[in-house]
This record gives sequence, C-alpha cells and structure tokens, in this order.
Amino acid sequence: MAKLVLRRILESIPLLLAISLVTFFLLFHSPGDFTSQLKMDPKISNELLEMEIKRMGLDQPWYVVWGKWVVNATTRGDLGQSFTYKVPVASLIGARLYNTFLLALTSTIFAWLIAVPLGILAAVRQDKPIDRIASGIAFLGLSIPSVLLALFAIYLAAVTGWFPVGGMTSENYFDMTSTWDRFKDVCHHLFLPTIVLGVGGFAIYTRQMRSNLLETLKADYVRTARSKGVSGGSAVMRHALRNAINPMITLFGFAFSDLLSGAFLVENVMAWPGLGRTTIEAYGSKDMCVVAAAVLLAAVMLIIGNLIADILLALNDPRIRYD
Amino acid sequence: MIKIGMPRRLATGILALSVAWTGTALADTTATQKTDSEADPIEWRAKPAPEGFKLPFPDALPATDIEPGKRGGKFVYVSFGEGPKDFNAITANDSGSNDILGLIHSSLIGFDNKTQKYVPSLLKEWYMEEDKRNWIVKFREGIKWSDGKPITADDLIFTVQVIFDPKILNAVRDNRMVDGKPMEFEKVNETTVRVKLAKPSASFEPLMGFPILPKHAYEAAYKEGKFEQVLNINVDPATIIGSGPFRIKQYQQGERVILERNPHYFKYDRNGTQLPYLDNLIVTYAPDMDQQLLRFQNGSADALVRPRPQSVPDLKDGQAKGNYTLYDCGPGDGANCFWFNLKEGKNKENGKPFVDPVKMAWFQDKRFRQAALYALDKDSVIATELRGLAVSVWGLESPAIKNWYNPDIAKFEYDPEKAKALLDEMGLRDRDKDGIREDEKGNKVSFTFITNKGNKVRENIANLFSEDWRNVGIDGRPDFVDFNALVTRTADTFAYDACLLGFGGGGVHPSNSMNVYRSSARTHFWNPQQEKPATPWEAEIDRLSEKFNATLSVTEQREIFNRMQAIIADNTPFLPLHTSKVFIAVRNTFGNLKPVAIDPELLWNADEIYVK
Repeated sequence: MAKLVLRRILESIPLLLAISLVTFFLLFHSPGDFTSQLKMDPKISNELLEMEIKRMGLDQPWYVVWGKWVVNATTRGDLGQSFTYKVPVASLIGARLYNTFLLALTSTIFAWLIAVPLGILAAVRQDKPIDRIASGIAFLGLSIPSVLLALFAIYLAAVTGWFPVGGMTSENYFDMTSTWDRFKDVCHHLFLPTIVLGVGGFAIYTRQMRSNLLETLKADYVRTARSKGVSGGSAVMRHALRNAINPMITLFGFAFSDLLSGAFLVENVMAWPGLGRTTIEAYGSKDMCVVAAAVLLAAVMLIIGNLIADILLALNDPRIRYD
Repeated sequence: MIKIGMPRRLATGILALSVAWTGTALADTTATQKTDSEADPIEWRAKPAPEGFKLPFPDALPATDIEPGKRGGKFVYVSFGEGPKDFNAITANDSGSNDILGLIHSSLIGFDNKTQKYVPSLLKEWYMEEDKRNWIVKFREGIKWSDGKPITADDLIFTVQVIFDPKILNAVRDNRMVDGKPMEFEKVNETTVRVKLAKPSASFEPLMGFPILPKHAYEAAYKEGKFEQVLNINVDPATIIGSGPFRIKQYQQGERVILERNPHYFKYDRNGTQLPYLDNLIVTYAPDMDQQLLRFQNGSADALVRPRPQSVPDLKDGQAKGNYTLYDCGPGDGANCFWFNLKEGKNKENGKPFVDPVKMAWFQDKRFRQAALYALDKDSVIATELRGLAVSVWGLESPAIKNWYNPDIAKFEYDPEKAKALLDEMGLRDRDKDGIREDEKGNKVSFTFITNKGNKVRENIANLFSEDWRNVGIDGRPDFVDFNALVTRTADTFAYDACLLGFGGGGVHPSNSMNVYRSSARTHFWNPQQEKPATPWEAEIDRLSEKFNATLSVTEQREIFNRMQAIIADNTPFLPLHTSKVFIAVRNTFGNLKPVAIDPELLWNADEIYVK
C-alpha cells in the first residue's frame, strides 16, 4: 500500500507541473491582464500602470514567470503573491479553503450517510412503497438544478426566518464566549448550504446503490448462499453488499474532486465565504498566482480522491492488489 | 433651517446670517467668496464655535448642521462584493477597501457630499501665502488617533514621504502633482505645515483631500520596506489606526467588517456629545445582488444602496410594511457612453490600419457622429429597458456633480429626419435600396460596436440602438465581448470600430476627468495618447485644460470647464447616453440620514447617523 501511495505521489509531480504550465500559458494568452481595470481608470497614471506591470512581472515572457513560480513553489513552498490582496496566495487561500472544506465535508456526509442506506433499502424492498418514495426523492433531486435549489433555500430562509440568509456566522459570533455557542451558530448557517450542495450527489448515489445491489442480488453466488440457508439479511449485508459497493467507492473518488467545483456555485448564491468566491474573483481580475493555485488545488483534490478510492477498494475487495 | 412658505428673499437672508455665525458653514462662506466673487487669494480661517456649543476642547470640530442624536445601537449595511482587500489608505485602490477606509480615516480637508463643498476636517484652517504658491495649513489642536496618540504635523510629513516614495505604488501620488511636480511639505511647528506647490493652483482643497497615517505606528515597517504589507487584510485589527469616526473591531473575510466607535474622534454635537452616535457599524458582503436585496427585505440589513432598476418598484411598494424610505437621489455620477474609434495608425504586427480607412473617413466626420446621436431614441430606451429610472445626458459630466456640470451644451435630441439629412449631406445614400446606405464607391455604411457581455440590460440597450441606427440606414451591430477583451481592444490593439461602455463615477473634481479630455491621455478613449492633437478642437481642449490648471480663480475654472464640456458636446467624439438614478432604501429608525447620488452615497456622514 505504501508503494501505491508513493507511486501516485511521484506520478502526480509531472502532471501538476504540466497543469501549471498550461494555466500560465492560458492566463498570458487570453485577452486582458490584471491591469485591464486600471487601464480604463482616468485616475491611474501611465507611470503607475508601468510600475504595476513590473511589480507583477507581466513585462516578462510567460515561461519565465512560470519558471520562477515553479522554483519558488517547489523550493520554498511560496505560491506567490496575490496582486489584488498583496498577501501570499497561501494565506489568502488557506483561510477560505477551510470554509469550503467544511461545507464539502458536511454535504458529503449528508449525501453518503443517507444515500447508501436508502439505496440498500430500496433495492431490498424493490417496488415496495419505500422504493417508490426513494426513487421519487432521487428524481426530484436530480432534476432540480442546484442553482435553483440554492435560490429557493435562500428565499425560504428569508421568508420564514428559520435560517440565516447566507453567510457562515452571525454578527455576534465573536462576542460568543463558549465554543458550543459558536459551533451551534456555524451549524445553523451550514444547514441549508449542506442540503443544497448534497442533494444532487444524494440522488445519484441512491440510484447507483440501488441498481448495483439489485444486480448483485441476482448473481449466482447470492442465490447459492440463500439456497445454503443463509438468511436474507445476512446474504445482503455480508455477500452482496461488499461487491455492490465497489463501484460506489470509485464514484466517491471522483465526487471528492467535484466537491470543490460544486461548492463554488453554492458559495456564490448562498454567500458562503469559501474559496470559490475568491477564485471566481481572481479569474475575473486575472490575479495570476491565485488562479494558478486554485487550479492546482482542484487537480490535487482529484489525485487525492482517486487515491482514497483506490485504498478503500483494496480494503474492501481482497481481489484487488497493488503490488 | 429654512421653513417652507417663507418668502424666498427673506430665507436667503436668514441663510446668509446663519452662515455668518455657525461653525461648519464657515466653509460655505469661503466657497461663496471663492466662486461668486474674485476675492482671491483663497483663504480659510477657523472661527470659534458658536455660543451654546459645548466642546470638550477648543479645537474639536462642532457638527453644527445636524440634529443632536443619542448614542448607542448599530447600523447594518449590506454591500455588494467581496469586501476590503487592503487596509492601507495609501496603497488601496479598490472600492471595497476604500468604502471601509473612508470610515476609519478622516481627510485633511473633508468634502460634504450633500452641499458638495469642501469642509474643514483634520485641518482647521488653511490659507495662501503672499507668493500664491505656498500655503499654510493648521491642524486642530488636541485631536488624537484611534489609539489615543496625538495627531500632529509629523504624521502629515511622514504620510507624504510615503506617498511620494517611488518604491510605494499608490494612486494618491498621481493626484498630488502640480505642474508635473510633487507637492512639498515643510513642518513649521507641531500643528502647522507649509505646503509648497510648483505653481499657484485653485485646486488646493481637492489636492489636500487625502487621509494621513500615524507615523508612530507605521514608520518602523516603512523603514524596513514592509509598508505595503503592514496593513494587509490578515493583520490584527487593533493595529489598524485611523482618525475617522470608526475603527475596525473584526474582519471576517468574505462576510463582514464590524466597526466600533473610535473613542478619540474629534467631532462633537451642540450638546457636547462626541460623535459617532452609533456603537457599531456593520458592513456585510453579498456576492450577488439578489442576496443583497433579500437581506434588506428580511430585515437583516438596515440599508440598501443602488438596487437594480428591476427591484425599485417592489422596494417602493414595500416602504410602509418594511418601515423604510426609498430615497430617489437623482442621477448618479456614472455615465454610459458610446464612441467611434478615431485612432489613426497601423498595427505594428500585421501592418493593418486600426480602423478600415473607409470607415475612418465617416467616423472622423462630425456630421456622421451627430447623425448617429440624432438617430438614437434614448428616451424610449430609458422608459422601457431602464424603467424610467435614468436620465438622458448630453455631456461627459453628470448632473450629480453640481459644481462643475454644464447644462447649457448642445443636445442632439432624437430626430431621425435630421440624422437622415446629415447622412444624405455626406453623400451616404441607400443606392441599392436594401435599407442600408452606401458611399459613392458602394461601401455599405456598417460597423460593429463592442460592449461587455454579461449585463443583460446593456445587451438589450445595444440591440435597441442597433435598430435605431438601422432606421436611418446605418448598419451598426453589437458584438458582446468579455470585459478583459474589450479593454485589450480599446486600449492596446485598437482593433475595433466603436464601443459602448458604462463608467463609474469619476470623482467630484474635474482634475480626474482631465485625463479623458486631454488628447495625450491614455483614457482619451476615442483616440488615446496622441503625440499632438489630431483636430483643432482637441487642441483647443488641451489649451483650456492647461488654462484650467493655471488659473487661481475657481469661477474662471468653472467657465473654462464649461467651455470644455461644450466643445465635447458639439463635436460628439463621445455619444453621451444616460445616467442611472441612484436609489437608497434605509429604515425609518435612523436619524440624520443624508443620502446622495455621489459615492459614498449613504455612509459619508456615518458619524452623524443615530438610532432614533
């Protein structure tokens, strides 16, 4: 297993380098740069504009800028400075990443903890009312675009007052002295975004779990087990489920990397102070190092997600060996 | 002050009388002196606070024109965007940061957004010396930074040292140049500074409209070369020291800034109560305008500034139920403009002219530009797309800028027949009867205009204008491009025929707009960075702009600027379109509200707002 992890890490290095190269190439070759906004501002002098270009290294060829960035990133762990915020990219992204992660985590837990049992139940009780209800919810979840759902959630919050209209904390958050109160406050803010972000995945996983399990339940070995006298529950849980869950684990690997991009949208509509908003802003203003870091982060998430999936697969399925 | 129904003449008399003995209104006397008579040199001297004012120390600033309120409570303001990006008042250059910095700093010389006059602030008086180039400015005595240390001349000297340091990138410096040379500052004593200008200038007040930073707090960082980092968004709010009504208590990035009263603020009301009245001012950030609107409507915010036009009818209807008032502040300081690319020359890379010479010949003809303006039915665009919430404008300056707006300029009201006549006169006729005119050589009169995509209203307006032009036989088609691409094409490659764009406010003083008027300027949008003026009228404008800077009389400056606006309107290098009205909704539970159409629209007098 250690070998697998090591190999994956080594493999990811050229991949990440290539991704950063493409990012810098595109940033330099698409129209406009960080000074676009300044150029249209009569208050900004030509001298200042030139100084800004120099400060940001935009007067150099793109590959030089990229090369320097790679050297700094690898030797000193320095991902550069944000042009806009004039702070190190790592500190800018770090603060926001935690918030995005929190939201991603709760919505993953929400989606998987409900989806998997519900999918199992629906498969075992095929065509019974519980299956019908689960299918109904899943179809609803699949067919409502998450933007619409987010808007709906916001309106619900505004009209009923049960939940805050966007944000992550209350105004008096820093006046709260007990950690418990702070925790409750964040949970209160987390509730709606979690549902909105989780519901799409929830619908997919329920359907997937159900059909996987139904297929395995029809397999010969399950029938054999049943005919040998293994009880219905035990046949499902001990024999069928372990096989049916394999594709789900692979799915989890991809879902992990999707969480970031999914969160971006929800963050924007529901005013969650996450990485997505910072990234979108950076794309718009062409804040180079922030964009590069955000793109790389998404790639890293994909790599980690797949790695976790591979490890889980090996743990679940004794047939899978990575040596 | 003036009761309705009182005879006008009498009312004016009372006003003049009150000006004579009230405190802040003293700025008005100066302004009157400067603008309505030729009583130069300009001078402003503090006079003692009127009787009945209880000031804790003689030089505290008496807030004379407000109703005394009571202290306490909070005000929640919902803003659009991601919030401040920098807490450094010298280097910050974005509206999110400047909005907050305006609350935690006071300018040397202030500006009253309601009366649009310069008012004393950290400086209590200033006057011109005999040679007309040097000025003496005096700080209030006894005023303090938000950490309790005294504000002195040294702080000003330190701040200008930073501003004019070539290593410190800042936009404050650009507006502090007189005749291309930096202003010089010389300490006379602890509270007095001599300001030396390269040339006599009538723009002393706007030149001094900048905040200063405490030397004791930031000099060490400056000397270590860390000035640009010392006030970044990650620093402890307690280290952000200012002279404004509030100080930062907490910044939750992407969510809100919580401001608390600055206990050392220097302004007092007539009861001797120190301002600001509010305990806390909370600015929250919404990433989209729907969120912003909802937070106001559900009561989690007390004010909403510049809602979208489509939200205005709903907001109007909800006033009684939501216990708020929707203020119509009139046209704002932004503008929407259209211009043809008049940049002559060739692209160095491919050798092609920036603009097809055939088209250039039309664009350069004033009659063509005027015909294009006559053809536009702006009023119906305003009535439909903008729901009547905008006004048609005819020049570069918005009516919101009271001191400098010239209403008496050429207006090319919608008249398709006049447009057709002008085009006929140019020899552009529809020769093949397809509805589009051609020149003598058979070239179709057609162009594309670029505008930034993503703004639905702007896209609709572009299509309506396109139809208007088609009605007079011009084929003008919109091309929606990304904002960054638009800038590249209008400012770098000049590869475009025409452009439709909205501008934000350019500030309250013409010194900023000069960079649009002058032919050598980068933001002389239709034909930037000319080596020498391309047309006689542009040469005339350049001369006038020189004269504007040279004169010592504000009255004369105003005449010059009026003339510049008239020349632009006559020659229509810009087709001025419309300016949106500014609406502001605020709960009725607050007093001393003075919403205006220029930035900052509501919080400019945040120190005076109180909870009723």
